[in-house]
Amino acid sequence: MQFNSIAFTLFFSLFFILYWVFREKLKTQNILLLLANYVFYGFWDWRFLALLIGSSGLAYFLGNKIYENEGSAKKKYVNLGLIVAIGTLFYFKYFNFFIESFAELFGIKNTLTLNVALPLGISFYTFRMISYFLDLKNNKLKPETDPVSFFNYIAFFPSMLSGPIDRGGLLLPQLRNKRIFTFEAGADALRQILYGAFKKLVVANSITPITQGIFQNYDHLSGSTVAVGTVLFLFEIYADFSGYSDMAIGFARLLGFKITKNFAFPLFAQNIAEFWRKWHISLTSWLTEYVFTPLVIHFRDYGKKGLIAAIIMNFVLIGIWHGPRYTFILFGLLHGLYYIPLILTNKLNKKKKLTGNFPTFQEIGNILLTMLMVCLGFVLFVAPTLTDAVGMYGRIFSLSLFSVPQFVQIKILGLIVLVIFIDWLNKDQEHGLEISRFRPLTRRFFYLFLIFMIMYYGVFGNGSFIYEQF
Amino acid sequence: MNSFNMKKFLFKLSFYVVAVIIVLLFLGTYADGNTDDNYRHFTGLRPSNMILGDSRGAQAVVPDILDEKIKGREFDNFSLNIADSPYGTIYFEAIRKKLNPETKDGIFIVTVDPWNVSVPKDSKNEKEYSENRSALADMHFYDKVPNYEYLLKHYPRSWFNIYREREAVGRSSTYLHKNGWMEVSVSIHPDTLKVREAGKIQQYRALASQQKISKYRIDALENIIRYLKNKGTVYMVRIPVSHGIMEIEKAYSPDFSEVMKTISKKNNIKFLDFASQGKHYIYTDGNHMYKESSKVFTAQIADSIVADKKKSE
Repeated sequence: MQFNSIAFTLFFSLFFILYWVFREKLKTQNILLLLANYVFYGFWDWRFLALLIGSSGLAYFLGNKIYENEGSAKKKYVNLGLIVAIGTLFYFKYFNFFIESFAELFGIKNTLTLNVALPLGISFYTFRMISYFLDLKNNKLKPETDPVSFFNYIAFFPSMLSGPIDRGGLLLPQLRNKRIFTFEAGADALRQILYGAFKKLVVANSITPITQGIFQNYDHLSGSTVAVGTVLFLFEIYADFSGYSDMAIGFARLLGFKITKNFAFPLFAQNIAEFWRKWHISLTSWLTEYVFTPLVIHFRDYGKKGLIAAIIMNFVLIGIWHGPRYTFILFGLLHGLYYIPLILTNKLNKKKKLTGNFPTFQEIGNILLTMLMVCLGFVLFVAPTLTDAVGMYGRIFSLSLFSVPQFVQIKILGLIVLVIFIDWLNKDQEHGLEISRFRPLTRRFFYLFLIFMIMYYGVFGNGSFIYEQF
Repeated sequence: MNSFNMKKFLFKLSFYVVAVIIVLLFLGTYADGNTDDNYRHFTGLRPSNMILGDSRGAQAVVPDILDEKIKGREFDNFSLNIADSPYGTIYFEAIRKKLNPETKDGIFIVTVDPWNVSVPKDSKNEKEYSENRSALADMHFYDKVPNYEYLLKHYPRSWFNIYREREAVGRSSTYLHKNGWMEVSVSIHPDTLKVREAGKIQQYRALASQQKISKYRIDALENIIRYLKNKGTVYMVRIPVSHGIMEIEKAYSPDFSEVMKTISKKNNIKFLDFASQGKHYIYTDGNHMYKESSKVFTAQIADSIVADKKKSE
């Protein structure tokens, strides 16, 4: 049941009405929400519903135990929770990779490879559980005593499949309190959903067949074409993932929830550090809090070297989070290495805000350089094997880079320019279509224009989102 | 929540929703034989006389010729393609839904080839078969005009394309007639044919190494035959192909015609085996019959059916 499917439209419409009918009865509303969460998840694969409910139950139990105990007993429960959560994720996502790599390394016959599917959203809901345990350990959070609220937190359907990864401190209090619906919030949520749908259905889905064609046949194509493929992939993954995130946040807002922002106009980032502060924010802020900050403290005696080590380790973990592939590890490593010049020149935390209506030449230069680095990194993201990655880099850095690229379509260029224009117009707002400041007529023009674009240029066959696989 | 807020919200939203629905309903009315290769199989009256099979059958058997030769009957070609309509439970269910329930004396032409009774060697269970992703697997309505269910579920492009590419603008090279005949209009210049056939031979060689004849599919074929026998007369037909493709089929399943003959005898139906007559026809790619040849070939089937009917009277 994809956000952009008819099944989801019907499901959400019915649920939305029913949910607000019980606006005065918080408990009923939460029970309905829980049922909706499980229907939504079960629609994908009911077999893994038991895993989700079981994991939630265990996390609920351990959360209370962590809070009730002190000292070594508390530590024991925290560790148990982390082992179970990470162990489950490892079993489903990484076990085969390690077994196969081990067998290959030592030339042993591998008979242990598991034939199991990856449960949908496991990386996302596991991270929610881990943050819950760690927040309890650090006394940043009190355990949730209401099981319905807690189970809702773990399985919250708008952010179930691809995030954002919400922390308990944000979502649990909202689940305990009465939600309010206002016309303005509802209208703005719909605007966010509309823009998300436009980015996914029109922009991302139009680019997908081109990038797939290029990456699957890179060895027969010119360097310029492969390079164009990586640039197109930047816009594809941005439109896909930020489109999904906009829809997820919009649907949550329609139910009266505020969830974590996942993108903050990363296409205008002026250096790589700023890019990661604006891209997949919920993951990077999660890792900053639970991995990077403890590492920085751990390495504090080593000055800049310690900071570099912490950043590289953090980014390698971001790479590994994406999946069990060497190319993902290298993707993380490369981005970690990108930070070194910023650290050495003390520019890591310098924030450059774009304020004018038009960017300066220097800002344009910074943005283009940052995007160039990101695009080069995406080669490692899209290449299924190291051999493919080397092959793609080989094509890009060959003389054929200076030939005329194939697959450049005016329509795609137009769509990319449109996304950049809309993003730029609203770069200081909460989301890309936050246009409540405009006059009603202008707003309506935007709505009708985007609806028309979706209806006219939309590609509805590819329902899945890139980040679902993670 | 302020209930007024919600009312205002739903009221304003409804304008956009209604506008979108009206535009979609309007565009859907233009759906025709150009829309895609399968749409029209899910529209029109439920037939009492059917042609079954895959794309070979879809192109080689022309219902208009049958209607003309076998008076008083209207045929519908319900053959889709090898991915959508190989013999199996999904196709069987679709046939049940498509067929006029009142049918008592229908004529059914069941076209067979080694590929529509085969499955991939590496598939672990029936759920992995290609037809599970077909429109046949999830459609309820087979006789609506326009069929919005089909368009919503299986038309992945913008609906404006339905209007832009409508028949009135010009027939597409793969045009699906109302009676289910797939009319393919491509160049038959000998050089072009050679290139296309070479490509097809390569494709079928690869296919032969990946597929195997399946008991599941043969059982399904027999179930379909038994079901249709209760609704009228069934003729099993093997459509001819070019020499190159036939050689691959002979190597892949040397006794295919014998197996089909056994099935037809067992079920007391007639098997019209045209496998040896390949050289009499023109093929667009070695595998699919050219439209003018299809008319001649269909006339031959019709003559056989008429002769059989006369004999049994």
